[in-house]
Amino acid sequence: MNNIDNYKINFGPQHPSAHGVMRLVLDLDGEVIKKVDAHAGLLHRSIEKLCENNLYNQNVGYMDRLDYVSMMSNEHAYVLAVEKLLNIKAPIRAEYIRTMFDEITRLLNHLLWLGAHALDIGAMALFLYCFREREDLMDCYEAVTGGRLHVAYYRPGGVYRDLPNEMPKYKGDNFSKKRLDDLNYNRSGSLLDFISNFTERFPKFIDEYETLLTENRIWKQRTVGIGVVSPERAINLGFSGPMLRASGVEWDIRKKQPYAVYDKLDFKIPLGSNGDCYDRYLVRVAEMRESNKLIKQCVEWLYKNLGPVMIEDNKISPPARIDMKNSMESLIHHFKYFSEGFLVPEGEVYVATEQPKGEFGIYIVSDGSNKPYRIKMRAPSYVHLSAVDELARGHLIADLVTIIGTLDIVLGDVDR
Amino acid sequence: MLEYIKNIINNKFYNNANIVTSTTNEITIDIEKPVFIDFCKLIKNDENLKFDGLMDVSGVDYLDYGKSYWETIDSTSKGFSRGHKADINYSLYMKKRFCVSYHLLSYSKNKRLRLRVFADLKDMCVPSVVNLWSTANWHEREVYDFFGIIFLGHPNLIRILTDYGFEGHPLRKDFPLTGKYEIRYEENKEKIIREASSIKRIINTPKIVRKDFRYKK
Amino acid sequence: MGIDEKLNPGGFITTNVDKVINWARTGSLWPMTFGLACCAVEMMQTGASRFDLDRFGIIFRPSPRQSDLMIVAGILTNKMASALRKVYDQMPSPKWVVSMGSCANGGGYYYYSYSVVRGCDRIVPVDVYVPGCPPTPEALIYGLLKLQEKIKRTNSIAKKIKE
Repeated sequence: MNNIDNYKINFGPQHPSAHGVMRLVLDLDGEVIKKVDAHAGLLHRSIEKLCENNLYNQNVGYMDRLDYVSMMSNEHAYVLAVEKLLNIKAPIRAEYIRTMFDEITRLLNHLLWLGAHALDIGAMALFLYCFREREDLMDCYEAVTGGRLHVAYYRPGGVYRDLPNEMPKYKGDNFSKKRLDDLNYNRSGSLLDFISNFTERFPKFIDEYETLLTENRIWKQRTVGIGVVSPERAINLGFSGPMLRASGVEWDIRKKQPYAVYDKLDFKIPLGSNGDCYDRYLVRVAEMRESNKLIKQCVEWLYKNLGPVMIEDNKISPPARIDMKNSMESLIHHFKYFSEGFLVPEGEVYVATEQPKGEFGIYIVSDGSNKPYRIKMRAPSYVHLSAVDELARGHLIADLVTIIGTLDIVLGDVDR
Repeated sequence: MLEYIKNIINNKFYNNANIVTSTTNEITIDIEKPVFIDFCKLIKNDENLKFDGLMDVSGVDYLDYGKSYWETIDSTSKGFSRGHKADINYSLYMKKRFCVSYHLLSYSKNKRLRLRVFADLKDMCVPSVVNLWSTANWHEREVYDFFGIIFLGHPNLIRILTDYGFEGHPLRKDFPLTGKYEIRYEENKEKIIREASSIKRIINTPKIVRKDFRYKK
Repeated sequence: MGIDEKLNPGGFITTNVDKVINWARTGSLWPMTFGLACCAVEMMQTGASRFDLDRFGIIFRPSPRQSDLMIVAGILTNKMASALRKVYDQMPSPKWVVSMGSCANGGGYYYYSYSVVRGCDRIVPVDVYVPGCPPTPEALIYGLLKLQEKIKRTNSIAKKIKE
């Protein structure tokens, strides 16, 4: 008698639809998946050990590069953890700026997720539409810090500097004046004017994406009933964020354990019912609409209220550059701040924020020195990737691509 | 909730558990290994606590706790002058070197909790909680990979994030940051070879520990 | 028009075979997507609508056997290095490599880490290095144009006749 064994195939690190470098070893019976063994660690840069060798204010740059599609949310968790150990609070204008940029980051993340997920399943036009919106949002990042992707904007004690009064404009000799005026129509005012113009245009774009996908027969056949998770199983597997809310569990850190100014703003939490890929898609698209509303409310507040964006404590905030170049005491302060940093009292803290992918937690153990003794980042993508075995059993290989897309994995987060 | 937990500990786990409260309003409970699994079952199933979500498992190595590097020969020939030495009392931590921290969350009661289990080089085994919370599978693999702590009862305790065939446990304090080997491609042999690591970390910002009067407890 | 003037006297134009080959190669560089980390996001932005790469003839191909350029975008770790070399060996020659970002150039932000290859040129030979963390799409396009200039300087037919 011939024995029929399972066929092992390597869904390897270089693959057009694996979202980054991840190796999955599949046990197949024909086309049906029997077991998935996920090998992570192909992007392991040991950021935790590197952070132990740097000062507290030097570590903000490493936090951007963890989940590199939602940059400022990671910085937010780290900065909140350091502030909790130091027992300080950022000024109110800084908190509103942080909330506004957190929601802009949520839009960036969900737009890239939607573009990449649709591209994997086969709807290629959506990729270009979503990236067109991302360009406008990256212009916001660039206006306030100068960098498009990795910014290091949040600091312990506030944010680095206030919002600018003018936006960078299109320039060029090859354009006619009329064309240039058309391109710069929303860049003639300050950054807040640009963002409020964006929030007026954005709901129409979400309607475009929904027209393409939500009632589409092919999309529904590819995503309904795939990767179903019951609420109890989702809690036991450690899910968080849209993965949990699509199964019906009502848990959002912004409502239950609010940080920054989320308790002062008005927004709703979308919930799903079945826990399959289609529900996760609907939950994330609805979250994009809620983020738009949140940004609008923050922009209204920021127009009316001016104020400092960094706390007054001189041990924790550096001096202004103009003072540093003119006064000897400020130069000494600048030198001492950037070569020794500030000392954080002894203790441990765990802070979790609602990053676009789920719950992102930072656990800091401090021994009273100027460098963190141990930093652990609790990454949502790590936990979600560990569940791919349970979600994919019994499905076909094409469904595996859908499931990897819906888990919303970024390998920088998994491997740290 | 703190009073409720204190009652439970006084009734059943006296001498084996110890509550530490901190300035940051978090509750940390240090548990001894023999009663760890029973305590976890209790707080997961109890009607008033219901800690059904395990958020994070992480390891900590307390070898260099509170030590500063003022007299380092890497920076100048005589070290730094005007340095102070630490005089914080770390007797609890210096008894045992490793610690595993569990962060728990109760979705229905909206509360967080931290549990700590200590281990030493002579006794590196900790019972595994995979049967209670399935998410502990990958978290415990990571703690084993980085620190070498063995979890009894884990179904698949192998390396997860470090290289295939990596030796050593990287996040321990006596493992160098630059590692033991580096790799490059050798044209003659047509494969990737490992060589001894040739770079050295230059310390620009030394670690100092100082008593700051504003944070006196 | 330029070509009409050249064609009019006899109806033919003369050029080097090398120049024609190089014109064909630079006009349709097909890179393979080797996005590893954050630079991959900027590479996707370069391929999207504002900074279009398709106007240069650059179409991203998923398979190494159908591509002639590899853009190493992101940090290369020890665990990934053998896969990178295997994929590079699978590409048919002529092939070029662009190292994008400071992590691929020389270890970058993670130079002191134990699990990082300090520059992808330890594993594959690199033609153009594009600095930045991450390089802006304008920088990547500049790097690709520099690669086109480098290709135009190479001689494939003339070299063989000399030897």
